Amino acid sequence: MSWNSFPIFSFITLGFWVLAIITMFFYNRNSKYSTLTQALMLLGIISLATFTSFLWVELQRPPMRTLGETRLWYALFMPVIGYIVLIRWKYVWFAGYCLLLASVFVLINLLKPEIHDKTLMPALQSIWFVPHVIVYIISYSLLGASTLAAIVGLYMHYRKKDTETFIRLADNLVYIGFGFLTLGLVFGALWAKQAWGHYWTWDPKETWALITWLGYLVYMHIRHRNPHWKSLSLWILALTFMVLLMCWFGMNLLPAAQNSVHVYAG
Amino acid sequence: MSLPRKLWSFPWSYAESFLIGFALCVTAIAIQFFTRSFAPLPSFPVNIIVLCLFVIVLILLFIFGRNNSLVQWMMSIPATIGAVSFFGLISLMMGLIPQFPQAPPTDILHNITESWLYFFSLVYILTVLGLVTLKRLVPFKVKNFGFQMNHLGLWIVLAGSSFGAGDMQRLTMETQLGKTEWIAFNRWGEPVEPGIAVELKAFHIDFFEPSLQVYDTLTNKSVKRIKPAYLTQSKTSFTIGDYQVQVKEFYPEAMAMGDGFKSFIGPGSIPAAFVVAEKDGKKYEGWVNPQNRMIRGNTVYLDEGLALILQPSQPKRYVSQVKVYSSSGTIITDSLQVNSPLYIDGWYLYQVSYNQEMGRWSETSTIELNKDPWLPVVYTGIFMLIIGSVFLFFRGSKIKEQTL
Ligand code: HEM
Repeated sequence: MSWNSFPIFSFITLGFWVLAIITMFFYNRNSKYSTLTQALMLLGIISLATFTSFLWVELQRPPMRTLGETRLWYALFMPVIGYIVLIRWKYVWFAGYCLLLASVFVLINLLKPEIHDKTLMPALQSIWFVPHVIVYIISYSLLGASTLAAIVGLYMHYRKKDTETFIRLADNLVYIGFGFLTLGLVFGALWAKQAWGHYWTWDPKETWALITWLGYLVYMHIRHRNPHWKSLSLWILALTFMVLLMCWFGMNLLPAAQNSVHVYAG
Repeated sequence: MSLPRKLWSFPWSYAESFLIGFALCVTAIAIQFFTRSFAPLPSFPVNIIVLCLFVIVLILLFIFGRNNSLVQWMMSIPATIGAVSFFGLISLMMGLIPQFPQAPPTDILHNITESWLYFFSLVYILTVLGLVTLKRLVPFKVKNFGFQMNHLGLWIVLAGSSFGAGDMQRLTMETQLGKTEWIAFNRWGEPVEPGIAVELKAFHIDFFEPSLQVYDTLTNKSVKRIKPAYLTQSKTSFTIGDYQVQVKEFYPEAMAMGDGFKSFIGPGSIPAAFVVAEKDGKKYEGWVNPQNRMIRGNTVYLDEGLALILQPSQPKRYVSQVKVYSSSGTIITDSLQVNSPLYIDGWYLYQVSYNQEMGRWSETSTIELNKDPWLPVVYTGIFMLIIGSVFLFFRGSKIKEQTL
């Protein structure tokens, strides 16, 4: 079991998710389609989770080092969040978007595979590695989901429709996502102290993580003070997600980041 | 708002907050250029005194200024947004412009953390956050617990790390096998006696296995699609891409000998393997090995501009066996490796590096000595932030119940 078997698992996963998305068009709270949709979502998640756990065993290290590996986790957590939101708040459209986004990540990994070697530099061999990365990926999934809510909200705003539902969903996702983001930042600091001797060195990756964090901080406080400034808040959310993407993927391109200890291999 | 409010008439709002941020920015740059100096970095005991004075000023402002419009503005969300944006903008500059700790004061943008700009943004944010925290602390209410964990926690982290920065010492020490070293160097390369001596008793590296990879001679890169094969003594046949590869001979440590390689365990050795690759009945064979100073690298050329290469082994872990003496008479004998520092008399010791050229035969080990008396303060704040983030999870669901 290795990346060689990824195509099989991803086709199974994508199959389930595409079927789930199709059933969503017939979705009705009480119809048999709702159970079917949920079952299909879960089957896809289980298939991808199985692959991820086997990969972990085979690589003899947590599969969290390269960008492709973090995409794998994103593809795993996004549908989980969609599923929870579906069950809790019955937002079918939202679960659909989550599946779509996750599928895109699976497709990227199919089309652009990387070398997945098992070497893990000593600095990464730490008890903080797994909690730090998992917490970040959960947070990124939640915040990505809040961005979906924001984009739909903005679309509704410019169509002169009510945005209240979407901004409330975004709020919920941001609060939880921001909690995880804080944990990620803090775990990173504790780990850095243990590995490099200082908890904060303004390494470019750290700096961008902080800017992302500040962006959501601004969103939360503006929501608190000016709840009627909806479109502005939604724009802040969308823009901050750009910063988040910069932090996640854009690092390899930045002149300031050439010496970063965090630039992912691959 | 019914009537448009005039700028600078109370109550102040967002516009004033950003303008004040801008004014601070201009002032900071002016100070830095005219005095050609960095922002102050006080150390013990001045930093503690200044911190206490700062807290007292905040408390006095809070007690006597609660009804003053200016102080009310300082405890408001608009001031928060102004301060956070100012700090965020400065972080953004650090994220875009490479930073050099050696840059002089006139080169603000390349050395932001030591600049007055950074200093002013910290003062702005600490003032606002401090007053906000006081506002919710008095009168004390249990339901503000989560709020305090986040706000007071962050204030403690920011205050502890910035006021404590002047007391932090980070030194580098080069230790030699069998010798005891008591001199370390600070970041300007000046020798310092930290009161700690380190005797390097042994140095040891474990390596990952070397890996066979397919290399594209046109792009000069390993082919990313193809999974590398890790060479071990027991496994001798692999599928790499479209090729069936047999490993006829493999030495984790070898020396060039005549046309081939012989096992040799000592300085200057490299991994080497004799491989036969086969595809569609065609065979490609030869030695593969990475190069080093004395030995030429060998590759086996395949079809289509591809080649088989042997990547040198990557270090898995490196360990220094050390005996550490402190001036207070404490002696510790232990092993030191990345991610597991040693603690002795207020100092943390970190394994940093070794003589890369010599690899596992390195007779030097580079150690960082780190002293940060304010660490417990910062950790207290971090601990509060962790509790605070758990409150945020519940806050999310609380709103949900009220509104949906
Ligand atoms: C860990 C970082 C932070 C988190 C998680 C956070 C979270 C929050 C939350 C959830 C509220 C709403 C309180 C409630 O309704 O119970 C709030 C209010 C507020 N926050 Fe923050 N905040 C953070 C940092 C800051 C910073 C850095 C500042 C200022 C520089 C600030 C200033 C304020 C102010 C002024 C309020 C309004 C308080 C009030 O109306 O009584 N916060 N914050």
